[in-house]
Amino acid sequence: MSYLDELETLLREREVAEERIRETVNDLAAFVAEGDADPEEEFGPVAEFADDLTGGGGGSGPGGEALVWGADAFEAPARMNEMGAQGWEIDLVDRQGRFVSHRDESPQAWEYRQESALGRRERARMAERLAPEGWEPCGHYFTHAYFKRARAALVGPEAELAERPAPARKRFFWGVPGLVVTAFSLVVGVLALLSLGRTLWDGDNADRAATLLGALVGAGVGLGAMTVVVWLFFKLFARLRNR
Amino acid sequence: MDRRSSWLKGVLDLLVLAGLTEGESYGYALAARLDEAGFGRIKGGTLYPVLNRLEEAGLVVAEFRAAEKGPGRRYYQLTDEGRAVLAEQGAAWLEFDGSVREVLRKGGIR
Repeated sequence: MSYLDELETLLREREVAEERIRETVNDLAAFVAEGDADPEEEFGPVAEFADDLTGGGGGSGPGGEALVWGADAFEAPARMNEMGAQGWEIDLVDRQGRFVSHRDESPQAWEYRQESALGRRERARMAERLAPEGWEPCGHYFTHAYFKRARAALVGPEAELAERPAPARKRFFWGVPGLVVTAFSLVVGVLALLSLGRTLWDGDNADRAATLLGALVGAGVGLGAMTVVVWLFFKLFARLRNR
Repeated sequence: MDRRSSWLKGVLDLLVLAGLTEGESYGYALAARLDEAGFGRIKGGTLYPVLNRLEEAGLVVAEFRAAEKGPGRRYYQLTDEGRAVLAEQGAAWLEFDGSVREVLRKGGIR
């Protein structure tokens, strides 16, 4: 069985969609054809490469691992530091607010902090303020800005980890406050939509247009107000935690 | 791992994003471009997981196109978010680079 055939089988075993497998194998075949390369030499051991391509393994060099995970904003600081203590380095925060991270073959411990910042300028000011302590930005989501620091910056070679504990099977961590706030927001959202629906149902066409316009303005103002509330709340939350 | 590989590992995602600012490209062309820029031959086993991570994070989008002759290729394109991340993280790297240069300069390295 050729390298790419074997890779195809391994990707199927890892439940990658058929179309994605076909595209991946074709693309990799084009890559080796263009470079006139040996696939094993180019991509490394096939099982490790299959892991790398499916997020189960590296992408961070030989023997590395990759992980995409998330947590609600209340739970995130503790979870980030827990993962950091196990050698996971966050590379960036994706569109869904998940932490795209990797761990080297010989990992070192990382520390994290979650701050609250409105917009790029405040994040840049914050990054400048935290840089002398060794913190560097590693992503942002909504009004949350995330920073990482290699523990080696504080303790030197002692930050190197002797082992790589297996990560938790869960990929999203909820805490009680996060669940309560999310449930409350959902209830408010559903009630607002039901109330809007009833008003639209009962009124005539002129009423409906006015109601929709009002709902749009209200939603815009409400979202703006909520953004400011979340920003201020988590700013206070970060200040209390970092004391 | 030698020191150069370690440096490259920390910045490869930014180099890939930067390689897409002028338009779409594909795996082999991106590797060749990095080689030309002096980073040496980046193996597919290093490049593709980075491309996958960038795609998963929404920083690039990929489109597969079948070829008339031979296997098709996946073409990558920078998203607006990818452009914003490149600007932000690229500026952070330049700042880091500036600090290293300054310290080395004071240490007599020119």
